[in-house]
Amino acid sequence: MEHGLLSLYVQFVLSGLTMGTIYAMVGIGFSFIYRVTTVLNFAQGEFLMLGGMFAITMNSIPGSSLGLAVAAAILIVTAIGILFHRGAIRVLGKAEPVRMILITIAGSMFFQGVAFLIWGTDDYAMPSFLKAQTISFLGAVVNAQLLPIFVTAVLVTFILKIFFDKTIWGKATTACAERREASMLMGINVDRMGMLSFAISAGIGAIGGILITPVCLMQYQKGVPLAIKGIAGAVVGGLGNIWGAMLGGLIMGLLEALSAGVVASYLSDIIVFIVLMLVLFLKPQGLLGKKAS
Amino acid sequence: MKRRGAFVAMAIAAVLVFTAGALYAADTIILGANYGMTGTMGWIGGDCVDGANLAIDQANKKGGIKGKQIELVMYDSKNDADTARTNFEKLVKRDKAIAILGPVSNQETETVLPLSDKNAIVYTAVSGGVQVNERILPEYKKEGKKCYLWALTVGTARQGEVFAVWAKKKGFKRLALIDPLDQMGDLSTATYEQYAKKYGLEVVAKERYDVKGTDFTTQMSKIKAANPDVIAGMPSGGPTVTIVKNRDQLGMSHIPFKVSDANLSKSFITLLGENTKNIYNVAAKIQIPPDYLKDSDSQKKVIMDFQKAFKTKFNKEPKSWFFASVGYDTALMYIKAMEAVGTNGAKMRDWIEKQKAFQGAQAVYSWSDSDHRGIGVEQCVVMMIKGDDWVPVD
Repeated sequence: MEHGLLSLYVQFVLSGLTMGTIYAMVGIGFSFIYRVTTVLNFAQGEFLMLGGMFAITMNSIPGSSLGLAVAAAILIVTAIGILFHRGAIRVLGKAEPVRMILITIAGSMFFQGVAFLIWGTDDYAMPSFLKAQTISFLGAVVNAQLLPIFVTAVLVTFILKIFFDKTIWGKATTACAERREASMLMGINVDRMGMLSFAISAGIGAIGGILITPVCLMQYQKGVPLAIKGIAGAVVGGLGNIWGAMLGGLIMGLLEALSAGVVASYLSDIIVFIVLMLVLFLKPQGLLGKKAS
Repeated sequence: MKRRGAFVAMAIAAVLVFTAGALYAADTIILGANYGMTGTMGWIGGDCVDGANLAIDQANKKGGIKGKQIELVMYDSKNDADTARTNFEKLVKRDKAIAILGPVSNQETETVLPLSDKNAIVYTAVSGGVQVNERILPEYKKEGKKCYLWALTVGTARQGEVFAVWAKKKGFKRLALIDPLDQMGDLSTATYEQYAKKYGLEVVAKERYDVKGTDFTTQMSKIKAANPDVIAGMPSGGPTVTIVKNRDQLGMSHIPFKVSDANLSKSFITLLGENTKNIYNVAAKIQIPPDYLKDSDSQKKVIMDFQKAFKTKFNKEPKSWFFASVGYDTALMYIKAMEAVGTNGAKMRDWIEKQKAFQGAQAVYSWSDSDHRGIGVEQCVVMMIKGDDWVPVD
């Protein structure tokens, strides 16, 4: 019985990590755009949805392979991210935060509408990336698909960290976020950096969407609930901090699984958001966020 | 001046339209359809209307009701409660509908309930979640009122009962429940608990899940820890696939799992991929491929005739034979009632309630003042996935 109980809790933690990593992938993209442009991009969830959907469609074309489909889907969604920035954010936004938020919400609905027209309301499945269905660990089992999701999330976070700290482009994007006017004066093309952030975030979103499709299928409305949890995670972790988004997402997932496991599913959302509010009450800038100067 | 002219013209047009409607109504009998025809569930209403038109067509060819032809007037409820209410009023007041087909969803059904009492108009819902037998009929009985609502589907509660009976017969003892966190889930869990008690099964776990979730291993591992020998509930749509995968990942693919009848489709089987072991369902016989029905089963010929007539009339198959048969049976029920007692709503209601062996395409219905669904346990079958089909099991 002791062992049974232990493996049950290990199971809750692993389930939490599965969900948390997915939320982290949303949160990272969200945090990245915020860091560069101070835009809260509520269409981030739709980048995931579109990534999954395009990968499924590309994969179903005769003669295509899974790898090709994945690459094509990431490229398409990255292009959509660029178009979204060029066509909507830049034209209509003009740096007013409230307007920007409205535009991204409108974008979220627009992408859903288009996806509905293309794919209808059906759920779509995609084959797993790994042969094995499950991995066993301390008497608990976990979806093998978690492994590529987790590895990718960590990898993306590392690459972004290096991008920000070591490359001139990365430093330029950080500069844009911290002192927009000063960056302009220094000759940084702020607008171009904004576009870059949307492109990369859309690409990251697409990767996340593709990775989760074998776990939970994909459907045109799947983006919004993921975005809510991912955004909440990013805020708790410290908005604009990539590691924070990762940490926040994992915390969200763990809280959700443990509260559903130990208490009850119907109280899970309440418990999660009470804890989140407590965190923000004690540390308003988020766990890893910098104090506002 | 000009504006007044336009107003007068409109008023005259309106009068003409209304009198024309009234004149027209005099030599035809109007049935009203109040299904959602657009949106994500619009196809359900589409199938129902096609089925209803088939029944009406057949009746008209035989001369209609005492020489009067029947006509179906339909408005799209958009599966929205407010629109459903407006449509109901329009159908009763303007079109003088004798009885109403639809709506589909539970919320719409509840919203128009008072209107059906007030106007003494029978109407028939589709959703299995409508608590007509469980809550509405007992309430009405207590207040001494007559209920004009019917629901011609097996229903969540009856499904639960059929499965509980089957589980008992198979010697299962420990039942675990998994249901979505919504109204349907509430009803499902409550009725399973009730029937488990009645048929001597022990409910060892009661789990609920958020339909927007991405992973349900937490709930399924709690179920595993409770060591059940059978799992049941009303998971429907995409989350069902994830839940079944989670069941299999946790090494429970040998445990029979009953899911919602909303999953009775080939596309659901495709989405499950390899995870199709021991997945069960409960449905009326219309859901079975006719080849699987025994020749001795009188329903077999009825279903095959219905399907043939449908294909001849529309030159296509419906998206779901189930919903087409619900629409067909609803119209047929009204037609037979009008043939028997005329077009008075209260008389039709009383006549329908007395029918104990009403032959429909979906099933043989048996109604009473405590059952306005009428598809008895013996009219239902337990089904499971075999290959890429849902097939009946003993």
